[in-house]
Amino acid sequence: MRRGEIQIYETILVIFFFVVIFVFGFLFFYKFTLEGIRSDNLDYEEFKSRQLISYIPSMYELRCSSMLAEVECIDLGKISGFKKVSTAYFDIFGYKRVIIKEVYPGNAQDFIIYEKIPVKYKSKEVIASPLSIYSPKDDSYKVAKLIIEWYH
Amino acid sequence: MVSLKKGQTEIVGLVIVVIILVILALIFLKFYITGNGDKDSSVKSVQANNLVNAIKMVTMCNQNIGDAIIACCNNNDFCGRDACRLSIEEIKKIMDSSSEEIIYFEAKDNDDLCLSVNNDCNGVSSSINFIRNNDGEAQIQVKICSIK
Repeated sequence: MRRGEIQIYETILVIFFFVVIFVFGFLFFYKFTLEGIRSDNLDYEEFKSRQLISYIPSMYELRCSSMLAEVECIDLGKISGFKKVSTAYFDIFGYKRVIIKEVYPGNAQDFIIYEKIPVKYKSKEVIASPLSIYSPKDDSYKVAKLIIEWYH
Repeated sequence: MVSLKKGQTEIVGLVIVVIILVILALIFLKFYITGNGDKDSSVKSVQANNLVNAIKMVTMCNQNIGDAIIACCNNNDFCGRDACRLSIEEIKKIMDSSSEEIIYFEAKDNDDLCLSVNNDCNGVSSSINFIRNNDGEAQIQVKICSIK
């Protein structure tokens, strides 16, 4: 081979390697950007779920009220009514399961107030918080756990 | 191609090392700043406030635990039993059943500690809740310490 041919081959080889490195770089960039967007979306969903533990006890549809005064607790008498219309709350709750589990004084009862589970999901996260509940049956205040399961 | 002298080559090497160190420092800083600390403490703060609110409202002997705590601070009986002992037992039951974490509970009457459950810690505190009835008043607070 002449010196000129060698230089042409050398140039082609350099361009080839440059293109390969560029393609790999672009693929990495694309993958990292996609992962970044997915991670941001997950963070946002997590933030929304965390917010629900303070939002649900303050919902007028569920919270206790006595003589026009608002009390910080969930009225068990309102749960059955809320459950009937809970599908209309998809915009607020999304794909989640919201359970109120009575833990004190004893006879543990679970009340599922919202349930919308996606057909396919990778994992399930659970967040819980204590909560005061009012039982109109025996006119007493009890302690429950508000459990929010969210799927992604 | 221009050949570099030995001194120049070393400077280029040094610059590359500095650039790599700066990049590593930036990556470390990104993970350090975006930690989970804030998120966890905000959730724990909501949990602590929900718990202290739930405790003070629980019905006991047709009254609530808040009345038992005030009776304890006044050294009175409640429900035919020693108010402090009864309050500690019931509050402990509530905390054990409603959370997986170690929780400290305290009740004060004008800055005098009259009731506490578990040991004090440097956890996330609830806001101070005032409870009052005809017999007096008390301030109650919980702190979420750590996982059991």
